[in-house]
Amino acid sequence: MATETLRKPYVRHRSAWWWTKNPRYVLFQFREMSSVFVVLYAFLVLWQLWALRGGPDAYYDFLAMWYSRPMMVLNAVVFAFAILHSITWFALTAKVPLFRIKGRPPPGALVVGANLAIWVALSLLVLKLLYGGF
Amino acid sequence: MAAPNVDRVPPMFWGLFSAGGFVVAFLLPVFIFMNSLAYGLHLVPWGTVEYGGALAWIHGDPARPLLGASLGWLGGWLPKLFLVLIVGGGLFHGLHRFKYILYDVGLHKVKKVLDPIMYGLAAAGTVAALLLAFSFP
Repeated sequence: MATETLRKPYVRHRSAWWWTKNPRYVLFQFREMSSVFVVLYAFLVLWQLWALRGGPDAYYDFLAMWYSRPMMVLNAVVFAFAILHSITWFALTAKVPLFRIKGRPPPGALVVGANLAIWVALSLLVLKLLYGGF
Repeated sequence: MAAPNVDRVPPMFWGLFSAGGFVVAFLLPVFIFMNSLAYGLHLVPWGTVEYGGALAWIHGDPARPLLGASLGWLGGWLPKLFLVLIVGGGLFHGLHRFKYILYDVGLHKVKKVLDPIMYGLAAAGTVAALLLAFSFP
């Protein structure tokens, strides 16, 4: 190889638990880990649709699993990570200004506030349109 | 004229990550709440979650009276589009982010294998959601 050097390359050592050292890193890691639960839920929904297509018996089997104690706990955990994603996503959006007000990026609190308002409005809209009420 | 060597593929996946991030942030919590938790918390009756109720939901029955005669046709589309958005947005957002977790634990060495697997999985899941959701009348 042309890029061969005489010295052994320096490889910086980093523990797999580096993020436990600081609360900020813990929040970062939890934020990133929310993606695992989002992906998991997407596949669970595909499974649910598959079961629903399979007819009443297949769907009742699915529901027995869906509302079992361990699954209820898992669903609650997925829900908690979904909420964490929403809140951290809005905070992150504030760091990436998409427009300017009088030449300056909009204040973070305004962006987060607007996102929270849209979140509430869309959630209510989904409850109204897809679930027929509040 | 555009520069010839501009890489257009990674920005596209970052775009899907971002769009999916908004879909997940705005729509996933309310969906998990209604689809997974509401019945267990005794907030909705069994009739809305059992087979018949689930079929009525995906047919868009709850929306029809609200939409009226002129927009009633939308009722059947809304739940299906919603499901495709949730699954597709969730997968393109989540698998992109998960990819960087895997890079972080050392899999950056196998990028060339990992990237197609992650985005292939996201694309396959989105197509599956599309086919499954719209297979209902």
